[in-house]
Amino acid sequence: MKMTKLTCLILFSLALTLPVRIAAAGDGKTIIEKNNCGTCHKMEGPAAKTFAEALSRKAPDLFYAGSKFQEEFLVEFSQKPYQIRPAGTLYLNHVKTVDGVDRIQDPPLCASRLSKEDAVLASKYLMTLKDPDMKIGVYKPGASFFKIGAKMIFTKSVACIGCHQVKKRGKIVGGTSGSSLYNAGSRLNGDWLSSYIRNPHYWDPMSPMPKWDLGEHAWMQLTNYIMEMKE
Amino acid sequence: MKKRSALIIIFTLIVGLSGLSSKTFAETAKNNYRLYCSQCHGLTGNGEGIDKPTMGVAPKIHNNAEEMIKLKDADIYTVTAQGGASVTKSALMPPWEGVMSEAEIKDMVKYLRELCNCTEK
Repeated sequence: MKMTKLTCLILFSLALTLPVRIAAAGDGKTIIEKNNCGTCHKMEGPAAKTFAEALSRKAPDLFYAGSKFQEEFLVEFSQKPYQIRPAGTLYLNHVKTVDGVDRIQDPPLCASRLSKEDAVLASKYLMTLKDPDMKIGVYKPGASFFKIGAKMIFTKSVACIGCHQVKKRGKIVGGTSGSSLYNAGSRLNGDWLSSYIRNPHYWDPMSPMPKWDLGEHAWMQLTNYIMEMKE
Repeated sequence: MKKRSALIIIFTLIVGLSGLSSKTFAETAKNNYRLYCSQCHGLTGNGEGIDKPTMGVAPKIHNNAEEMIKLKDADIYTVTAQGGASVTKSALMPPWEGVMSEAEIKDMVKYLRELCNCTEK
């Protein structure tokens, strides 16, 4: 009898929170629509598959935002955006040859300036947009790894640093065509990162990122190394 | 007659399905160059791409005939497909064979020859 009461109480509590959760995600969707996020971001798949489609992309796809990002990052970013990709979503759209040298021409910043309340609701909704096929639990936070080896992969053998910015003794170094990685660990979902670096074209067929053939151990080292980059 | 119809159906299906691959391979070599190569080698192939300033090894200047003439087409293909490390050059030049098809890489070799306005020796 006691168990029945307890079960009822639990079910009642769940029933109370469920509509709130659904309402939160629903409200978030409305906020995203009202703020015209879909003007720049693709909120539904598929991703760009042709060069022309890739060129027309103004901002990263968000239809798998829940797989890609950490919720806390989305809450902060949607209130106060900053430039993650120094040369914009696709550098080709923001680079000009000036005096024989290619230079980045002020890529636009995300226009989102949500209030904290809206940012929380919008992020809650974005976190529901997931790729059901992404493997979960691949990245093990805090797992020990050979940092020197991982750094060698990052800077030498795969040379990610050629296109991605990182921080070295407080200074920003690295290429500007890719997304900056110095806060990747507080921005990205480790499982998504692990999947993306193995096969970027699964997520974005027109990604300018090459595809490397590394062993499982090296992929895990690289994932851990990048996920340790936090601000 | 039935056999012939079946063959036609299978052929049509194969042709149709090949068009549904994840990437439409109608892209020209110039577009591929802009997307995959220009960030290092520059939009015009002069080696002055936006990623160059932080690179320890300068990217190949593709519009330099004097340098490009020294390379065989087969070597350019190998480096493009398998990356710089495959020919003991810098790993900053990544392998593109999983991204561009064999035909696209062959077209890329031709495009590089257009950029340098040169042929192999």
